[in-house]
Amino acid sequence: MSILHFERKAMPVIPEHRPMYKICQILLILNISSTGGKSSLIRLHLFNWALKDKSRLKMLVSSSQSGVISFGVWGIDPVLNMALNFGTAEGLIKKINTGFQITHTGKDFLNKGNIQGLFGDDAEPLTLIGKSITEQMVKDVARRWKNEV
Amino acid sequence: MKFRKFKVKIFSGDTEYGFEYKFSDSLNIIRGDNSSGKSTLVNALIYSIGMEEIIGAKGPKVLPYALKSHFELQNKKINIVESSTIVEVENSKGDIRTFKRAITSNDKNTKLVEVIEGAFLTDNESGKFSSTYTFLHDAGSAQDKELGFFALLEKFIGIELPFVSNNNGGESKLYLQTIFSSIFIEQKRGWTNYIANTPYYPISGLREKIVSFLMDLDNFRNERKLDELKSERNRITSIWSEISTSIKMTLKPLSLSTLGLSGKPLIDFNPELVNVGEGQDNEFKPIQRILFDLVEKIRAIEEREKGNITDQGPELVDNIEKIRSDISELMLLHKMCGDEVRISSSKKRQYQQTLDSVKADLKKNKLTQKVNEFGAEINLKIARNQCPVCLNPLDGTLSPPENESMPMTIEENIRHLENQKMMIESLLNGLDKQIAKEEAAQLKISDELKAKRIELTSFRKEMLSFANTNETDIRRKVSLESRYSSLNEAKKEVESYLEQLESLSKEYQICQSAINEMSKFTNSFNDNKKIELLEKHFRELARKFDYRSAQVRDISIHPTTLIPYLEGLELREYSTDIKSDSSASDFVRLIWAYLISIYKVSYEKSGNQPGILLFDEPAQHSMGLHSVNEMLKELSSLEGLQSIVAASFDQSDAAFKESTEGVQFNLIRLPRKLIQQIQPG
Repeated sequence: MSILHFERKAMPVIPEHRPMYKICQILLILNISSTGGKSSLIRLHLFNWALKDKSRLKMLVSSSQSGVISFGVWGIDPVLNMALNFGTAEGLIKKINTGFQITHTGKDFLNKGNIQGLFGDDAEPLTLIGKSITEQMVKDVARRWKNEV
Repeated sequence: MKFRKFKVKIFSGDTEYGFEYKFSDSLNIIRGDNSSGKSTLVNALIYSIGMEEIIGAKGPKVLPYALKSHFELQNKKINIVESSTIVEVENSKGDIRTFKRAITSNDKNTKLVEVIEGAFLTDNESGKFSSTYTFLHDAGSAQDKELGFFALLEKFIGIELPFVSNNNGGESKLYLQTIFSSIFIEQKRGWTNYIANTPYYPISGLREKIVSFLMDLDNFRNERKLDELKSERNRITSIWSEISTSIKMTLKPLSLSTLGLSGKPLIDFNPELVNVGEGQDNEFKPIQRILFDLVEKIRAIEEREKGNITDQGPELVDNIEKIRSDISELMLLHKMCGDEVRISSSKKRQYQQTLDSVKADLKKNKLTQKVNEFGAEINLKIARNQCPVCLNPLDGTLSPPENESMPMTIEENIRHLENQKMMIESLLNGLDKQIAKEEAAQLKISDELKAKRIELTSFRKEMLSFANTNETDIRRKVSLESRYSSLNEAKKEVESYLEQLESLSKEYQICQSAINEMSKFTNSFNDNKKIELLEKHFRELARKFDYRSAQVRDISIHPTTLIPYLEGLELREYSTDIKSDSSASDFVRLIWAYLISIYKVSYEKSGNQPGILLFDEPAQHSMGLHSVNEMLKELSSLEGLQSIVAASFDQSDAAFKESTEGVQFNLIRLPRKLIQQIQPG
């Protein structure tokens, strides 16, 4: 009688789903593109969604220049929430009333690890955008969702 | 059916006005002077059983304003608040019903008829009666057995109306109104034809159908079948004419025409007898001849071209032919090579894209690896795949914990991607080589092609130098060829149309012969006896009523239309002497004779005539008093018939006396004003 053996093979994972990768992205968004290192969750999702695709990043850059967000909607990724939890647990980020804020430890981590240099592809457009995507602009779009439904 | 009592009730304030009359079972004469309200009474009676369409419209608009809005009494204008008709009828079995219908009412719709079981009027409108409401005119009033008034009336009279095929190709019930149009003859239109005031329904041959039904002819069933066949024949005829129009439309732009194509169906249609061609009558040239001529012309031009060449350079022609075939072969090869190059290039583009994304992933993974190392250095638990809260090991991804797949570690992932990268790169190398090879082959073929083409051009030049092919010939050939192909196409199209016509012709033949067969035996033996009887009664009565315009013995009843005919023509107003103006009143005599004869046949042969006739002002066109007298005598002598005749008798007692000499009847003498006060409030 023959026996069948099953062996589980590991699956490849896209790098964006690695905890440290995503945490680094969040820290960069908070540090470079958010006033006072603070951002609402929905705004973080907007940046996270834009960072996944080059054409979206371009549109976000042009939105920052025009002062009106040109996306009608954007994707909400549960992976971001997981990364936020881990980052908060590590003390790199802290939860505040309006959303999340980068901590001292977080800033330290960015500087000492030269994260901005390593994540050049993400950091460059973020620098270009600067802090000009405001909470108010995000709110305006989000209000439209509510009203239009 | 018989009317027993009829009443119109009018309320103004708290005073009741109106009138009420009782009818006897045989002849009733309503005598009223002009404008006394004779027609008001007759029309209200017709309205009371929902038959007002005979007068001309649906609803109370057929009635005079005196029953709707106001009337005058003793020089006082009285406004009507509410009015209604009440009629008591009895059927042949002795059942009595009373129908109540509103004329003007605030709360009752005039399309509603209240059906009261029993003699409501005879019992002075007191006592207990059960009643139901039925509706009129709206869809279903003839069909709905519970609530439709016409369905109820049909059942009450004891007849069953047949279904007949209508003009829309469907079937509909013969309407009760049409039957009553041969029973109630109102004065305005009623005396203009044998059965004149039939409301319009899309049913053809309605008059024959009504008469057949009244006399209960056997042919009725056949009639229906015949109608079906006739509508089938119409269908075939219309398809036929559509096809023949299509044929003409196809041929017209090519300036062709047809000979022998009929626009109407033929029984023995032979497609070979239809000729397509050019020109008219004697100069008609069939399409086969035209096509043959065209081929001849084209061939002549070709011969001329070839002749020039073959005479002077046969091997030159062969060479050109050979190079031509070489060139087409090479072109095919060239195309195949080009396809391969294109396929390979597109594959290459795809691999390149994959490689780019693998490279980007690899870069990001390496980045993550570095960040993890640094994180571990500064004691970040997450960087070592440990939960920062509970210190349990994590699987190194951000996917939700319930995810069951086993993810690679970063190191494994990097190795995996590097392997992929290598594989794609080697594939790309192979593809590059293949593309180079294919491109070289393509280049070689195109060089060869170029050479062959140059060769061909030079041969052609050589040939042109001694070939006299002129442009005019070429142009002519092209136009001849295009004419040929369009003619050929049209010919094929016409042939397929003709095939359709041929099969249609067979259908038509079957249909037509069935119709002929049926027409031959439309009337059964009994039917013929009934029609003979109708003819006999009709002649007798016409003679009795002093019909003079033609010899009565020459009049016959047509066996299919069932209408009196004289010498093959429908007998209408017919005058042998132009100076005499008696023809109009003579025609009215025929109408009396006809309607009474139908009743007599129906009575003697137990047909469907409901046993009632209503003539409103039958003495039209200064009718002789003797004729009226004879007609009234006839009506009063008929058994089982209730007849109601409304007339003014020229407003003279003498005329009335002479007209009713020796006639048994119930007189309803109308007062100067029909509407009177019934009860003070």
